[in-house]
Amino acid sequence: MIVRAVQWGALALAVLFVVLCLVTIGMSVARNWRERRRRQLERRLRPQILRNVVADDPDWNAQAASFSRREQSAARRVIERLLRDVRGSDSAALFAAARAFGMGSIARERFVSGSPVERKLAANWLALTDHPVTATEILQHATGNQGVREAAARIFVRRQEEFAGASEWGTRLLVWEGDEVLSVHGVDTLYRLNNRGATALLTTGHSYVDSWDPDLTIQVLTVLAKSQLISSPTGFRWIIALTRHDEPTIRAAAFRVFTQLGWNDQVREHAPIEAGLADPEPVVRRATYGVLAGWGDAESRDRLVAALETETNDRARLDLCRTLARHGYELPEEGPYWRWATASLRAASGTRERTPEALLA
Amino acid sequence: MVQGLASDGVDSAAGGKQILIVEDDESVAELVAYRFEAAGYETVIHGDGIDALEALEKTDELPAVILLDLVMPGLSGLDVLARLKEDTRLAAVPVVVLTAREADAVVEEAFSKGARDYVTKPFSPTALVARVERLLA
Repeated sequence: MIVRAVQWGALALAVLFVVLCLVTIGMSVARNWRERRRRQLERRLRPQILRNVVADDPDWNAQAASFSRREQSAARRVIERLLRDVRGSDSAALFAAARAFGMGSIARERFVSGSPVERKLAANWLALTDHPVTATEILQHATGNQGVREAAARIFVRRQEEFAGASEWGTRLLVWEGDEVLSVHGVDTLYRLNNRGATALLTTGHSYVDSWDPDLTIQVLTVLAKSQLISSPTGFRWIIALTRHDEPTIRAAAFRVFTQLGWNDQVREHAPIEAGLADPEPVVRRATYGVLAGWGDAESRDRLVAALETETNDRARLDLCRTLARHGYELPEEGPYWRWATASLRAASGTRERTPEALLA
Repeated sequence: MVQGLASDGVDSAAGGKQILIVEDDESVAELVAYRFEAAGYETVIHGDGIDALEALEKTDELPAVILLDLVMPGLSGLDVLARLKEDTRLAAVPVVVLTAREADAVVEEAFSKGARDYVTKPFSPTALVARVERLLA
């Protein structure tokens, strides 16, 4: 009896397994079929849409009305892709197309009341179109989900000229809560909001850095290191404080912020370079060498040469030699580091073959 | 490959010179083609770098300019650029790269591999036509 029950159980499991496999394969085939049909439909509609984009006075409303619902949906996808990559006179035509196909109003409705996935997609459309939306509305409906916040911050990037303080609003959306790291897309958005003047990020960091996740702190510092920074030394106080953080990667990231500030004498005076050079962790010392290399003046070079006397870590020593070689400094040093550094630079500049043998010669 | 998307309304100002567009986004590629054809150019579109290189190796008539997207599946734009410049016959064709990033290492690398100009996405197709005409002048 028990044997029979086990046999029936095994059979039921096998049948269930086969059914699940068939359902999975069926769903995959159906999805593939739908995708192929969608692409075919888009390919068919695209010339009609593009003819209107380049026409002098296209009647988008008539075109939208002549399309079925499925065709309208495909047309929106074509317009979305074009809006991502096109600006100038053609983007004005695409804004009109987006209005005629209702992209803005659909996006607004979904942004206010949709699921997180719908709100994220809606924020993408709001960023691409010229549909009226206020900063308050964006902030109000972009809460609770990091993906939605990142997509909403993109509205402030794409439509920067429409919002006074776009950089502040977008930055706040991305890092205000500070308990989650940003995606690559989020970091890129933060950079685009701040790269031409990171006052918003410096100010936000001053107020909120203590509540940030350590990895988010590193992301913010990395963005700052790549952005234009115009501020008095007081604006950098919280970054200087981070050069004394317990975590070496945060200390290193904080030092890298100063790399592009060699021109700013006031900030240079306050940057704790000696502490960076004496840091017990090689990663921090390497970051400090990068700062001095970025400053590139005679005093910085002398500090790098002096560091050659004390640096004991292989990787840091190689970085140091490479930095000095890049700046044309000639040092007939004993040992392999200097040879490796100059050989790798010659290889990178194409004056020598990039092979292990060439590097070790 | 797509050829002759908008052949009507073409004037002869560009003398029927051919523009090769290597771009994986069909919508963008076709819009750019429309703009060039409206200015009197012939256009050929390839959706990836391998197709473009194969077609260039087979053809006797070289394009006047190659518009090359840097981010594509398969062979990247930078790899395509390097292969173009390794070929003595193709090396002379000016290449304008389309990139999503500006003033970074990728653009510098594109210039070091022989690109003549670059355009950052999002871009104006109309302005792109003007830049290419200046390049050909």
